[in-house]
Amino acid sequence: MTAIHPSFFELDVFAVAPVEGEVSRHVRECQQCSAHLAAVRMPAPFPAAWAHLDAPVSTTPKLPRWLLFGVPVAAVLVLSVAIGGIVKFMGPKPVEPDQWTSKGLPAASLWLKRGETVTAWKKGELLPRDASVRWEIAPAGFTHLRVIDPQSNEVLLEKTVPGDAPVFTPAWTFDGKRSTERIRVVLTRNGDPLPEDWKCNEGLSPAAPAWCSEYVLEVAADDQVEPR
Amino acid sequence: MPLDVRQAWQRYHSPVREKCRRVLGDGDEANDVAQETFIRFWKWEGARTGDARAALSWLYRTATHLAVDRLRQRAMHGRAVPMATETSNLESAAASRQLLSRISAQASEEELQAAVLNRIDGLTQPEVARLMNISERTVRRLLERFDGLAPGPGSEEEVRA
Repeated sequence: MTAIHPSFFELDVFAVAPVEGEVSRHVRECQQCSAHLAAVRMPAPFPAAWAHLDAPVSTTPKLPRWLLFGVPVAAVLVLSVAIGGIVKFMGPKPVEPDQWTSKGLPAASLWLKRGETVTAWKKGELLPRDASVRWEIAPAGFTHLRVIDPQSNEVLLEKTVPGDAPVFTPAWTFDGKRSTERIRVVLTRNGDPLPEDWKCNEGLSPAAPAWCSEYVLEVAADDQVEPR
Repeated sequence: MPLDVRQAWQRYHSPVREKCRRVLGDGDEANDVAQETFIRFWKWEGARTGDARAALSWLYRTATHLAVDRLRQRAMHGRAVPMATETSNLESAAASRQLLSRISAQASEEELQAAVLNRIDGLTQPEVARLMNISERTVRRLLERFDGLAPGPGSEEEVRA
């Protein structure tokens, strides 16, 4: 808080949860801060495509019926594996690669934005010419992201990413010069260049230096674009 | 009473959008960053509680991080900063945004985050420290280093301590 104006942060807290105090007294006297409050109290339209975000987060998912019946069988199997594991543990430990972690595989989703509408892209879906696209990527332990146009070998984006949190790329639009756009999303562990013979979509194994997914996007011609 | 996603959007999206515009200017990029911040926020375990101060602290921290990321990308690609059309209630905000964009290639991410929160959002140094989960001394050091990259008249008096 300053002697002149409250910080934008304090104004925003007041806008969301107003209480009588120093900020409210200031706002009554200050036209600029009142204008800011008016702006932040005016909500933007809620994106309809986000309604699915409201699905309750269930911590105890229901088990399928077949699984309930299978529990005794599974218990026996688990016990057998555990005994096998203990026996194996007594022997020499296998050497694992330095960088390999047991986290899940990375995943990438492509989002389309057309006007105010955001939808998930489905494989094979025609891309409207006026849509912008952005990727949401769960790096699953990888820490270096590259987005590449494999046709021109142009690196569209290169950045380090937190390995444990999803990241978004910037939004891109296509210039319409090509009817098919190929975009490759590549995750590596340290940003080193990939071996020349390394191929995208090879799948991930403990020895794989990278994870990669290639998108083939068919861009709609002008007469194929449906009105919004 | 836990918030649903629409209620959370109505409460928090506009403050986040305005914050992103203060840093990035009044363009699509600010809206994109605001949306991305909100999507991340909704995955945060505290999003539904309705605690405005805790929620806005989280949102400011994340929006600052994402906006600084964009500033650095702009600096890498030599793009200009769109001018904001809204009137700021801090006269120095527009000038600070221009300054940020000029030196975002040289400054570290933490220096830029501290500068955004202090110079553009108008938080005091103790407030910046609380929000970034660092000490006040570290905030001072980050802002000094930021000023060192952009020496010039006005940089000292803009510090809100």
